[in-house]
Amino acid sequence: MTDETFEQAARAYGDMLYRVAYHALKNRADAEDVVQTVLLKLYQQESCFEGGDHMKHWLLRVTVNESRKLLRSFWRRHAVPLDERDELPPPGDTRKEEVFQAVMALDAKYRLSVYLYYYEGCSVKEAAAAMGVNPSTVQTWLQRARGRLRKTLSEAEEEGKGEPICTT
Amino acid sequence: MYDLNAYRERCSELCLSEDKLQEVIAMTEQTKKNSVRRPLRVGLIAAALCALLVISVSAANPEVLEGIMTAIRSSVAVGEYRQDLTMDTGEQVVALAYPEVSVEEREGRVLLTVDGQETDITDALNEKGSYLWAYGDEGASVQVEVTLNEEGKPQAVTSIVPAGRDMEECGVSMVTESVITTTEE
Repeated sequence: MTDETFEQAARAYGDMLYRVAYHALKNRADAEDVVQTVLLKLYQQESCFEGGDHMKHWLLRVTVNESRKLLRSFWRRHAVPLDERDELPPPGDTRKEEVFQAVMALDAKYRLSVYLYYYEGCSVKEAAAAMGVNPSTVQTWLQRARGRLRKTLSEAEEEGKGEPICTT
Repeated sequence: MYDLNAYRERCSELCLSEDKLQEVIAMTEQTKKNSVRRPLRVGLIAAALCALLVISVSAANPEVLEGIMTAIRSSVAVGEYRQDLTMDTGEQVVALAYPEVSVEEREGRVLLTVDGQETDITDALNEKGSYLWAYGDEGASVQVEVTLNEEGKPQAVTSIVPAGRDMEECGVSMVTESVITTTEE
């Protein structure tokens, strides 16, 4: 892969990889580390991709795998956080933040399947391939995620947080 | 249903910083010269003694540790038990971490646990008087040797050296005494 091609790919997919890793790890620094690892693997990839979609799905799969690896690593299990400052932009829209936090409160497998399906627009089959599971498993995860989100956001609405959060 | 558009809008605000992207693009230059070193910004406990640091995860002196941790500019993970640190002064330091080791005598058996993996070493100790656990990767070589001390009690000695060096060059080892666990009836 030429330097120019790599830079184009890094710019095109960098944000996507960061979002996937962030959904898996819930930590900015760890997500950035995973993105670096994945992009370096892309640079060193010798075989050619059949097209943009092929590269995209390869990147998604590698990012999920690298995130899982980091979750299991010795250093992460024994780490003392250097800085626990939340570096996300301050929430402006309460509704956006509540829905986002409700998704981030789900188990990692549910968060990832929600992100891949609803944000990246992956089909169930594509999301399953990225996560290394059967499509029926992803279907189940999405169903459970929707159920939990409905419950969490309904409870938030009942607590009187203003406008209804659940909309069609 | 819930507001998926709100979720999508919020996700769109999650972006990789331009600095980080530039750093990755610049790292590709390094890959042409030598093997890939992946930066890993994870907090860690370090005791700085000399050019070679030996880290014990269980060691804790908050003030000293805080000072050392804030002096670390960046770190690169090399294998499972090693991090190569660049300090604020530009000094390069190799940090090695001991695995978590415990030796337990339980119901007449001797159990060695290394990073959560438990092994019954009773037979090895009875037959040979010692047991050796060893691990090696691109960063470091680790060895845990269990022998019987003068009182006949199992004792583990953990040694770690950077990859490529002999274990005999290890200047500091960690000794773990065994613990007797009794089960209440």
